Amino acid sequence: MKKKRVLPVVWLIIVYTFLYLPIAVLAFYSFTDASMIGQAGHFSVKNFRTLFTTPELLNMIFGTIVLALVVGVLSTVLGTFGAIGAFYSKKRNRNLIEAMNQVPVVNADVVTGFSVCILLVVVLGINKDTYIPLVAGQMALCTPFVYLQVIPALSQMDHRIYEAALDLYCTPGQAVFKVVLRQLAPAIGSGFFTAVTLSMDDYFVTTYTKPAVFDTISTYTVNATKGAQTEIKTALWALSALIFFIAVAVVIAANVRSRRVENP
Amino acid sequence: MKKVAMLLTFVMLFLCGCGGKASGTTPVTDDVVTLRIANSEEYIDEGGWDASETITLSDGQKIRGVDSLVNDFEKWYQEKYGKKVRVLYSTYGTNEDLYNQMTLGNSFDLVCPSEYMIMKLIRENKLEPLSKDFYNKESAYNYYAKGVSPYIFKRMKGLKEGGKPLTDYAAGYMWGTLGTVYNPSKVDKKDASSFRIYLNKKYYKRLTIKDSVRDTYFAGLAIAKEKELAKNGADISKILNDTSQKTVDQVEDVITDMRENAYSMETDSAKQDLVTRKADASLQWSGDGVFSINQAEKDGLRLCYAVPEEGSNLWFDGWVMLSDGVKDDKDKKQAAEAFINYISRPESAIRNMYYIGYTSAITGGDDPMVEEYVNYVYGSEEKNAMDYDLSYLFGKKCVIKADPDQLDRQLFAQYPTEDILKRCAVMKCFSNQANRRVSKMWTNVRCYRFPWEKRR
Repeated sequence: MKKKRVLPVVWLIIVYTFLYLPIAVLAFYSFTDASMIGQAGHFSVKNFRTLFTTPELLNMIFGTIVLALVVGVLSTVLGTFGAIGAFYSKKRNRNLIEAMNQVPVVNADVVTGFSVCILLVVVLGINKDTYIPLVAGQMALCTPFVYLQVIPALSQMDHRIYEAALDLYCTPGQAVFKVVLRQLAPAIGSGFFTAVTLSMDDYFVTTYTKPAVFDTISTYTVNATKGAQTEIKTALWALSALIFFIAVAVVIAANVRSRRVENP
Repeated sequence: MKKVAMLLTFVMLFLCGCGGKASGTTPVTDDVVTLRIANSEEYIDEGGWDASETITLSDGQKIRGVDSLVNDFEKWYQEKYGKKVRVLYSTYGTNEDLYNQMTLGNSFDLVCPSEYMIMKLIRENKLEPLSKDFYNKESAYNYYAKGVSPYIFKRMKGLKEGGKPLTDYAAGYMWGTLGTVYNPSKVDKKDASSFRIYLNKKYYKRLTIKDSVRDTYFAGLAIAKEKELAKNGADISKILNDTSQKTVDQVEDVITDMRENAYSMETDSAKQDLVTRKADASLQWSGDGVFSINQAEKDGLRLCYAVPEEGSNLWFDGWVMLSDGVKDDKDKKQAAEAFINYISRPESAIRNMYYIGYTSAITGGDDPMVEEYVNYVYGSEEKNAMDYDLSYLFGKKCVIKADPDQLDRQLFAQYPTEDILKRCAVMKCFSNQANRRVSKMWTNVRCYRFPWEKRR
């Protein structure tokens, strides 16, 4: 019995090495004073110091987070009400909305970004400095994913509760806010986090629609790797390592929590 | 933080339902001039030097970049002109990125592209000429007019677009050559001093070339035309700007072979490949060359720089004002020109050179500071020190006593001698047709041509 398990385990090890080794190398080098990967260096936290003391980097990180939260909230609101509206529409309308919702999901980001830029900036002449193209563009990217998360929760929901609320003299508005939304809360929450992650991840939409003086982590990194100056570049290794550690911590925490919920 | 504050403002406005009306642009009051500057990434001193990095010149002057040059300029402008200026500084990756940003809705007042992009912008009528007073040497703050290297100025003036010399629009910032960084323990200097090295089977898969069409086209062109270039009295500039269909076809063959012989086509990784010894020679801009040599030195590896003898590329980047930004706005134009002058002060030029490793177009004129800086970095008092003549560039007698070792290395990369520059040509902006031909060639090389395919 035991012998049979060797091959799958070896295979898994290979897969995970392939996935995590590059990140591990980067994380390792972020703790050295080497200026290039592959160079010999000594242990140092210099990169983290640069990361937390350079105003330019801090601004960029803070800007990315604020943008992600803003886009996350707006997309969640839009996507949730869109889903509720579509769900209770006539079958034909719902199918139409569903199909149109698929387009930004399937479409390449670069196409979405470029189209948003052409429409809002070139045709409608909205100034990029207003942040409207940026937020609208990222919302176009994130909202469909929120919609996709909320729709299944809606179909699982017991609709009699909504009718019961109406019978108990709720206005339709009250019924939606006090009853339906509460039922959907977990799906809305995961939609929100998807939107935040997508916004932080996005490069193409941002690069086409952002004001010139604003940078997110991804657009900043792409430019910074083109320069010769190594101090900022190595500080970005530290940032990558940090993001990775945070992601791991979140995943572990979520797993521990769900395990506790399962076996109290 | 300002940007974030603006983003938050936007959110407020949006949530209030008046997002459409929010003009969101920076609040411009009458007495503050907003100057939108775009420059290549990491192409200006951003300050933050350690005290140990302070440059002490022979006359006791100390230079240290504490704050960024942009912030220093804001202070200086208020002090000297009595007006507030707010610089919105942004960066881009390549000249083409800048051009795309400009077409896709970003507007700037002052940008710093390379010579060919400047020519393209002049052709498209997008630039505002420098004011007449800009070149008036009498004016106290006209550091550029006073400090620019007469040689570089002359070369820039020789470039014309629509009958107008480049100097009408552009103030030189950094300049350099295209050459080969090589590991002298593996590569002969003689081999490295020719573009032929990129076809040399002796260095099979030990070379890197640029993954950028203009640079690699130039190298291929120099190889394809080496016989013509070697002739006495050849018009180097004309030959190295040849983009006829016949020439482009020849170059395509050459580049296909170069690609086959190269370890990689890169835009950034060559510095690393040289230090980690994956490559022995690499096609590089002089400033990146200085950087690679310095980095390798820290790692105990000796690298050298050579400029191909058949004729190479001389390039420069310059500051130009965009007319949709500064036109009809005197204050803005004044601030833009003041910025050019501020970063052309000898002290600013030195800070930039120290920080980014490229060569400034500023040699200081009557001010000896830049010359002293070159002496500070490269000067040697050893017995074997050799005279290195840079009088042509400084426009006055300027001979550096340098370690002979430096003649193949940083000093040579940063400050080539006149005979080298005589054999260098500026690659002008391609015409639209030429651009189409060259792009097609590049697509062929990158995507379709396999090495086993027959030559034409």
